[in-house]
Amino acid sequence: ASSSPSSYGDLQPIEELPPKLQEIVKLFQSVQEPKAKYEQLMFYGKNLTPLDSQFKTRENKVEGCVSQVWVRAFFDEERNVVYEADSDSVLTKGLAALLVKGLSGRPVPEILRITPDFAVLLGLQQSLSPSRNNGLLNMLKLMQKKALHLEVKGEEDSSSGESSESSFVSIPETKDEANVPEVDLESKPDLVEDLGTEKIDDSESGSNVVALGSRGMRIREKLEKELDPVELEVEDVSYQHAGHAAVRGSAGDDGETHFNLRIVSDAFQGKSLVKRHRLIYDLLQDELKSGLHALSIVAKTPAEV
Amino acid sequence: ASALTPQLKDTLEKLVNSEKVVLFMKGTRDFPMCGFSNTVVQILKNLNVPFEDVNILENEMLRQGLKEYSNWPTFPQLYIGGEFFGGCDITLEAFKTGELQEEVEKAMCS
Repeated sequence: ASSSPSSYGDLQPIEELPPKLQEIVKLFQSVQEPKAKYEQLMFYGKNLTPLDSQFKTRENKVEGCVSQVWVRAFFDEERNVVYEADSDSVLTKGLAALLVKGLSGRPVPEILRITPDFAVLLGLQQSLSPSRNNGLLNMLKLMQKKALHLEVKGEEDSSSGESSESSFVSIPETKDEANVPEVDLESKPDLVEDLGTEKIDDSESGSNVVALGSRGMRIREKLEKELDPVELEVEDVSYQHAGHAAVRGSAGDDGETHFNLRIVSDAFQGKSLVKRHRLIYDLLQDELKSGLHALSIVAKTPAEV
Repeated sequence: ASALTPQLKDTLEKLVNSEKVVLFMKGTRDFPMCGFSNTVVQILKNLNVPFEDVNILENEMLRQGLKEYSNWPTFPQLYIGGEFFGGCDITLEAFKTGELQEEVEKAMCS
């Protein structure tokens, strides 16, 4: 029963996570045995691209009691965040690798939306010591912080000295993990064979494009008519929020609850962002009253594009 | 029927002015219950700015009243210096451009 969504109460729905992280969470939820999860972590760790030693710097390094973690973030050509990490402890390296695999290649806003809930979803808490669980969350925090800095600077963050709160992940190597079995690293875990890891890798692209339903069409028509946009994208992302507590039961008949809008129009000329968004909300107020739950809005004038 | 009674309006006015920076969100700063609220919490923590977090999931009247008060239909809602600043998209965009840092500094010094 532990894998049924309802047993997770108000945790962040899995659909909101980056696609690869979703796959990883589903994989971990599909097995009950702590040993299998542990072996999967070791597998991730072994396959982690090594971090060049030039990046094992003070800024990226995280001093723990015994084990150390380094995390580095940079943009690819499409401004998606790419992570690299390393650790001198095999288990910590596995956790770092899980995050690197789950988060890399995604845009900053998507990475920032991940709440600590996913650690619960992974079901690792029983097999990890509290300090390691904390370490996993601190690692996530540091990776999110680096993403946030990237968004501002567009380059590697090299001045993280100023705010210390989340800059350092400390993962003490404790001896309280007697419940974690010793495993033979050479034997290939069953889990890996069964579910594979390669198919995880290209699961996100293309398949997520959803044809607009009736609400989506109404939104498009309304904006088209009222704003005379030179560019208009209406994307239904309701599938990302299907398990959302606020959506269940109130979504109306069509389940179209979450949309991304990108609008380029002269109508925004001379208006602040708040005014632009309010203008859009006003135009769509009938939809908002009938089950439209959230809009992610990019509103620009032609000159700003 | 308006959710915004005069009494509620009065309460909200006090609430948005209770701190220089007030975030109305789903969940709390330590346990955000929505990715968009989580994003704004991270930004504010990164700015190292003291802020008040108000969990609107715990008060339906507050939740409905705020939508009208702010003239903004969704959450999170960020208030700076008693003024509505924006939701998640606007806050992240303003963080990117440095406008958010400016607004916060202005509010802190006033």
